[in-house]
Amino acid sequence: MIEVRGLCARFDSFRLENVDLDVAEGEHFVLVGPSGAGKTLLTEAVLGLRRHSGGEVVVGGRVVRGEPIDSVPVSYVPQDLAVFPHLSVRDNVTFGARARGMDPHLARCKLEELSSLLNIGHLLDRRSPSTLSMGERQRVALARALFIEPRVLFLDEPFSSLDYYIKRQLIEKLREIKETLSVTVFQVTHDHEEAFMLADRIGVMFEGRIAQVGTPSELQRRPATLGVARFLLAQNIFDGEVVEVDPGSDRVKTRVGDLLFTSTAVNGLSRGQKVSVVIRPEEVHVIRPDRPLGPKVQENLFTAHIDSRIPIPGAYILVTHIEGLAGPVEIHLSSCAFDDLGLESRSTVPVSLKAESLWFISR
Amino acid sequence: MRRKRAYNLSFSVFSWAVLGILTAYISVIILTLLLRVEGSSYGDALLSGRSLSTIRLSLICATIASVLALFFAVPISYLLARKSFPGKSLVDTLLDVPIVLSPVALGTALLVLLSSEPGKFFEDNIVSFTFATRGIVLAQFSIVVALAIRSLKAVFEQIDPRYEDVAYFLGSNRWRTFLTVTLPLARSGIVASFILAWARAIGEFGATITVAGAVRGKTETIPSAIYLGLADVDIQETLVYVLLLISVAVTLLLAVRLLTARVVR
Repeated sequence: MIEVRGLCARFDSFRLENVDLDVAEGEHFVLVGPSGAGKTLLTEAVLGLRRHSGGEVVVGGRVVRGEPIDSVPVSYVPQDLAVFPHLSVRDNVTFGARARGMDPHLARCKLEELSSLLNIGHLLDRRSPSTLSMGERQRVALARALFIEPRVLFLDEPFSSLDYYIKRQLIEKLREIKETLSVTVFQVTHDHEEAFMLADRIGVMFEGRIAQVGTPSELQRRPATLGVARFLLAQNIFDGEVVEVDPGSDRVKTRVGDLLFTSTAVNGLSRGQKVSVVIRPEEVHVIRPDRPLGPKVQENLFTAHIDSRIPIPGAYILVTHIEGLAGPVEIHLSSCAFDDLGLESRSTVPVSLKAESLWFISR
Repeated sequence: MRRKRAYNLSFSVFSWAVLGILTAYISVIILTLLLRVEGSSYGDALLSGRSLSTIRLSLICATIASVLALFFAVPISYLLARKSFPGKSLVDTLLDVPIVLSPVALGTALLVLLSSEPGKFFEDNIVSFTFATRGIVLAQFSIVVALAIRSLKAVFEQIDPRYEDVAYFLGSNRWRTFLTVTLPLARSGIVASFILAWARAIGEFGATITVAGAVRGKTETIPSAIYLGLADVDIQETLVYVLLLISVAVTLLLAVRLLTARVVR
């Protein structure tokens, strides 16, 4: 549905450089990256709101040439939503119907369908959208965007100013809409949790370039660059060196600090190679002393000393240190498991790092 | 700490003192005018046939000039606020010239233009401006159009272009987007610009007298009447006209203030 090839664009001193991207029909693609990465500029360039200085953008089989797309029905919900302040809520939602000369009966049916889907029926008679809460405005902006039955829905940071509860509700609603209406979604966010909840595929962007595109699972398990790993995982990245490669068993030994890690082999690694080791916090197994070890957790056994614990909904982030490893290791553990194990701050626990959960990035 | 507090206090005292002096200065001017005019002069000056014709001519010319100015200023200022094009800063500067140029100089330039060969042809065969009512409109328009462009450009710059982008993708063409989204959002600003242009036009003197002259009963506007009254040493009538212009200015400025406070962003 969307093909971007070698796209270059400029805005003041900021540049998009050689961006390549494909979004399939019906896919929910989420572009993530820190603030200032160029996500909005890329979205605007794809929409035709910014002139390209190079490359090509094709949406729905038509080339976009620095003019807003009008060959394919697309809808755009910008970060500030742009709900028309001079129109009533009903007139906002049905704006596209009037602009496109939609049959009034069809428009009424569509209004009923979307009002029910987005739960905005009770808001339609409000004369000014200024009386709506942020969550309500989001739903109205979404209804307005969906009214024209777009083939692609562009969402720029749609949930950025919402509190957690409303955000979760709207994320669920967006998933439901996606299922019901089979629309292609191109979404931008700086919140990777939001991206993981919604995306079929995620593109990670830094400083005007796409660093990696993949499914949420691929990105979590196999970040291509240190930047991607840091942005998505933030913690548990250590410098090391490959000390032994055994092609026969597909395993590799790597020294990280004073410790030796065994992991499943990663293609292209060679002895002496400098690598960064990525340890996902949820893949660190806290071992129950009273239970026998399964075959997968018998490698990479260490003792972790809990320095502190940070409560998050339903779980704890344990900030630990493992002797011989420079820097703290974060472990995600459910509250139930934490209580079951009778752990406390300052406890010492045996931990295992599954060989296949370790990931290496060449330095 | 004490020293800082003393500086803060002195800064406040200074600001309030300056504000007080200037407000008192303007109030004294108006008060002196009010005290100087005899009660009977208001009726004599404002209700005479000549005065009514002068006021009517001023109102009509200022209104036509302001409407014309807005007709040009709305699309031009929108273009300047939204688009980048080669030579934009040059065009922008050129459009500002009437604001900074002395009105007499602008009037003189208009006279030179009208007395050139193409200007003469235009005057003889199409529309005549020199020493005619149309000249008043032309002079006022030339001054206030720049003012309207300047104030409207600020209005359009305040309106987030995202509204227009969203409307466009929803299926609205550029004309429809402009008429149903941009203009309604700019409504208060446009009305405020019109009032400012009108207030400037009704008080315009330099360019008007240069192009249209100050012929009693023909091209005599309120400012021209003040000038002619001073020349004839008819102080009472002149002061009534001055007070009339001040009342118009104060009323319109208050209206603009109220409207600009309501500009939708």
